[in-house]
Amino acid sequence: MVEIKSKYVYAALVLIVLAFFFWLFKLNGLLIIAGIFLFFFLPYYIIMKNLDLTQPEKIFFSFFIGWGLFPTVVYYLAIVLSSMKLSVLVSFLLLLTISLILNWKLSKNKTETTS
Amino acid sequence: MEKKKRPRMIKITKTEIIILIVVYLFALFLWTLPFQDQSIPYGEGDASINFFLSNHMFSTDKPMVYVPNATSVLGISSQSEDYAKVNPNNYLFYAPQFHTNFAVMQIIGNNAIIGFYLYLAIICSSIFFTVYFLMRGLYGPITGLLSGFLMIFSVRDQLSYIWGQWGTAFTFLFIPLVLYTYYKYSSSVIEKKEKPIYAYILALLLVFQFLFHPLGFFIGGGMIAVYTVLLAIKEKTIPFNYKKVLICVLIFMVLVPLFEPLMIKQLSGRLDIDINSMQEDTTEKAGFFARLFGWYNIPGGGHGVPDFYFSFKNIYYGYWMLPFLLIGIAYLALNRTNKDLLILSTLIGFYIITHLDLVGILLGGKYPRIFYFESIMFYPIIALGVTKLTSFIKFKGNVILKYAIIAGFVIAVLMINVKTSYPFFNTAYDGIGRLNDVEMQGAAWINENIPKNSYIMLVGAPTFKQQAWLQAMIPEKVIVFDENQIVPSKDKDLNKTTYLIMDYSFFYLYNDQQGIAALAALEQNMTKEDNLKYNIKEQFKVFKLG
Repeated sequence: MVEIKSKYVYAALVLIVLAFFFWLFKLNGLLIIAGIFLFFFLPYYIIMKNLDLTQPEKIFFSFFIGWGLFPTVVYYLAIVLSSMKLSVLVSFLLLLTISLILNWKLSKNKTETTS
Repeated sequence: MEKKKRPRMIKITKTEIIILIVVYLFALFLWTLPFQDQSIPYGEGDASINFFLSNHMFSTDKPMVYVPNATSVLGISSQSEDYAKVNPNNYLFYAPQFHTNFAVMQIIGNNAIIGFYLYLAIICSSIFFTVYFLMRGLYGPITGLLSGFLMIFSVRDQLSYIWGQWGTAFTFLFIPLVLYTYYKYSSSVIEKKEKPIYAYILALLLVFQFLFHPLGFFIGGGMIAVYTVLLAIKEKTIPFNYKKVLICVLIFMVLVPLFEPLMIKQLSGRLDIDINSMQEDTTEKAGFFARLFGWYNIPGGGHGVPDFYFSFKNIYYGYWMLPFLLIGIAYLALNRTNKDLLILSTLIGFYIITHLDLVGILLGGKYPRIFYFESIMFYPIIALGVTKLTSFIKFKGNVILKYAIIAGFVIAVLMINVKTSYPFFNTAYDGIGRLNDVEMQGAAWINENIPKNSYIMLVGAPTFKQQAWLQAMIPEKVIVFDENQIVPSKDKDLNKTTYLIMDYSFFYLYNDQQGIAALAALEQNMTKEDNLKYNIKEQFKVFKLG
């Protein structure tokens, strides 16, 4: 049997998921699933991937922590900025920046420890 | 019986991921059926209130600190007398995370209804993933996938999702994660290779679980307490490090007030009322032994929860899965490894919580609703019964038989459970269960053409669902109505009204000529023809008053 490379399988799965949301809810569906991935998952996974956890643990913990943390930041920033829309954007950029800095620090520490 | 060994997380394979995604998309297809073809909101009273609050943030582009002045729709709760005591400053009465997430999805989806309901469906159906995660971590991919698969058809979860008890549904999602994380942490302590990261993640999960709804926090806490006792007895050691627990308690005590500062005062007020209500003897007396040996024997009945909610037959598609549940329990009781004790603890903890009246602790009227959490224990144990059935018998074709049983079970689920679930979702809130197209068009016109904060009298829409949902759809205006009355007469804002809606659509839907004529007579008395601002098919009219 010819083994299909993992990256093609995962790319196909992503396409299937996107097609599913587009099929049922058109562009709104695509935007929502993209929003869930970007706001509730990505920034926290960037940090979590450095921790001594299994892959499913990293994925699940990232999502459920992000799901609670993102609206917290959005809500209180929105009080300061007086706009929900602006706050969504600023919160995402802020959390992403923090996670990238932490990721850089954590991976740097890891490299120093292993060397 | 199987050898007693500590579970290791098996590496996830491509096949497993494919099955996981395909099954979940199937689940999501089912769970989104109520709004795939009609973009009209639905649900019971709680649903319309939650939609209103989120839609207000979306519509105004402002975070909600104080509850807006739409008291008719918000004041319908049976707790309204307590409301002033609990929330004198009229702050948003949920932790802000709950409604903010909905509003974020409405913003990002650029659609109030799809944004709200698609996010809701994705989150509520994620119970598939969290139960899979717990059971996969403990018993491997097949038991994990089967447990998650069964959750798709959990009637209790489907009802809460459709009716609108979304806070409970959200807090419920955390329980498998909380149990898993505590299991991993306590195992690491017992193995003397402590991994505090699990303790800190557990603390964070508990913070967010508490914010979404405290009920799941207490139920999960009860289960963890029972597991700790059983584990301590079995391993003859305390399965946690006091210092780490203290740090976790500190994380919790700091983050909860930090993340919901406006709600903390009302939270203590609410707890006070809940504890007081527990002291009221709202439950009828049931025989001691009937209670002791009964699972569903609820003293006093359902208390607003339908009777079928307390029947295994009605909730689990008949009795055909009961043998697997019993086999699963037998497997856990006979095996008693730490992971088995964890799952057993969920049952024991739940039994203790729902039987506290036996030791004189009255449970209050609302406690039967706790049974919502039952499916999270029963379905994984049923899955365990299916996958471990062959572990009781030793013979050569054991493995083939195991897979034959699993395949047969999955086919049976597809034939029995899907047959019920599909029409349930497909016909949810059909007809007068939600607003009609005319009312939706009218609401869109009002949003665009009537000044913000206007008071609008609603005449005609006779059901509370129509009244509440119409308010939810026009969040920046105040609808003046009296619950289940055609003409409002008691609403405190009656004299502030500057606009009038004459909603004939319900009567047209039923071709109720008498109703139409009666409403037309009312219209003639209450309005002037030249003040008519909007009219769609003679079914929904908006007048300027005065």
